[in-house]
Amino acid sequence: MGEVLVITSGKGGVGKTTATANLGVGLAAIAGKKVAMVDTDIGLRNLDVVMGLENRIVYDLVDVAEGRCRLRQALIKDKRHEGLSLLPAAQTRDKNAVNPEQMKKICGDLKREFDFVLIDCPAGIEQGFRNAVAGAEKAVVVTTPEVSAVRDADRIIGLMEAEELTDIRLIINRMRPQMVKRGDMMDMNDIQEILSVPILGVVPEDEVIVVSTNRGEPAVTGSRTHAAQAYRNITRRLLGEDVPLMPLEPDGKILHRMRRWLGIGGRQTG
Amino acid sequence: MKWRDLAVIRSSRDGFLVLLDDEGEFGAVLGQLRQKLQSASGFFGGAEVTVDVGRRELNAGESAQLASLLREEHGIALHEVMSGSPEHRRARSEDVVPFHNLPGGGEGGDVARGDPRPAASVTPERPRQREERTLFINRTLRSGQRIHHEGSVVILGDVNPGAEVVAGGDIIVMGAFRGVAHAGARGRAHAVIAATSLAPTQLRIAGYIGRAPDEGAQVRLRPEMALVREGMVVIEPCPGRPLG
Repeated sequence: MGEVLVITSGKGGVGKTTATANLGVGLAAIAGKKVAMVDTDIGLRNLDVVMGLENRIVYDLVDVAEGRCRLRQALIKDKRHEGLSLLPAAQTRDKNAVNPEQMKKICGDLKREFDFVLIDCPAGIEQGFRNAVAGAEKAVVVTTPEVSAVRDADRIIGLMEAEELTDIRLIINRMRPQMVKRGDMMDMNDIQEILSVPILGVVPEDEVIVVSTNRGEPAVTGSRTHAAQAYRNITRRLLGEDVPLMPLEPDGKILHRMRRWLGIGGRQTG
Repeated sequence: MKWRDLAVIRSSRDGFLVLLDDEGEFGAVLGQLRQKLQSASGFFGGAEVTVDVGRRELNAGESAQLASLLREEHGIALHEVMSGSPEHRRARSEDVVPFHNLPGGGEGGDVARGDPRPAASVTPERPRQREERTLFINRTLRSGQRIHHEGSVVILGDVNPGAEVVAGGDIIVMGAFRGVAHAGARGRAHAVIAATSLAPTQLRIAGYIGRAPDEGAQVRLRPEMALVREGMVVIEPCPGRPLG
């Protein structure tokens, strides 16, 4: 039996889909796991685009929920990464086309076949969110170091706790160490003080993420950048490995620490 | 001599607040209240009021007179009587007399100290829905979560920005308070809001509202409490001293 993780944030545009894509590729390509990614953003689907699989969609999540096809027919195998599949969202319907009971059933079926089921949740707290969390056992909350994103993350953590989904970890995305150093950006401790959930990883802001997202090839495998390394570390933590997380101290040499921690500075480069 | 208003009736969020002058002779004060209620000709019938008697301490007979004027003559439910000087109110919040403790209110017993009684003993015209028990919450309140309770609220955890606590009595937070609090929501201006670390978005006590300053709000790492002084919400260190 695999585990079902929902990747969620409350606020839009913080990097849920990018995180889902990178973790999916990371788990499949680096760890050799069987991974299913499910796009629950019905009507605004993106995960297929970020994965470069848009042109292969025949059936989608709504077709599966409504019984127009079998689950296996709708899953798109990513040929570049052995073991990685995508269940795309429908683009011509809306969030109400699927209900939480159907999602529970689909997640239950998927976890019998796959080691990891990654649910890409839509922004917001309405039906789409309820569908996405319905079948999940664990949650990964993505936030950015902005008060609005942290506020929304807090809100959805509260909603998930109320649904007894309490295994929640946090990815802080688009961290800019220079800004933190100048005191212009919330640091990891500020965010954790409010959200008080364990940190799964901190991903620095990096152009390579934008470029790879546009190309449809998640950065986690190829790139030597900080951000790609951060996703590799997160992948290993999801597998239960204890990969140390260097705390960012406002008065310390953050960039240096960050480099070392990400494994691309000092001795660890070689 | 300047004519003074001995009895003032104000509407508040949850009913009416009657302010009685605390210097004049009590009979005269009641007389003016009676006049005002009569001239309102039944407008307040069925309403619920809180009476603030200022610094005056009502004796049993005066309490009974007040209760009888409101209830028997005008059909007004007396929610509570507030008394004592502003300085005393905070320290003596236990002295607030809920209606059902007043002589003539039909019941004895110290309800304010939490003497649970079966609902069957409730007098029909004054159901004891306002049982002022303290609500304990053993978790952090996150954005979007709201607690509403008629009595006091104690939270063992944080209250995050975007969360809201509304209490008829006091609000005590054993953790960081960053949200919105409304203590004394039914008009009890002597209610307090205390937290291990107080960095609120907004604090309301009865009808008074205070908000965090726009600039330079520094979070102090000591327990603090908010209360109303001279018509303003002010924040002070908690009265207890730390060890060492």
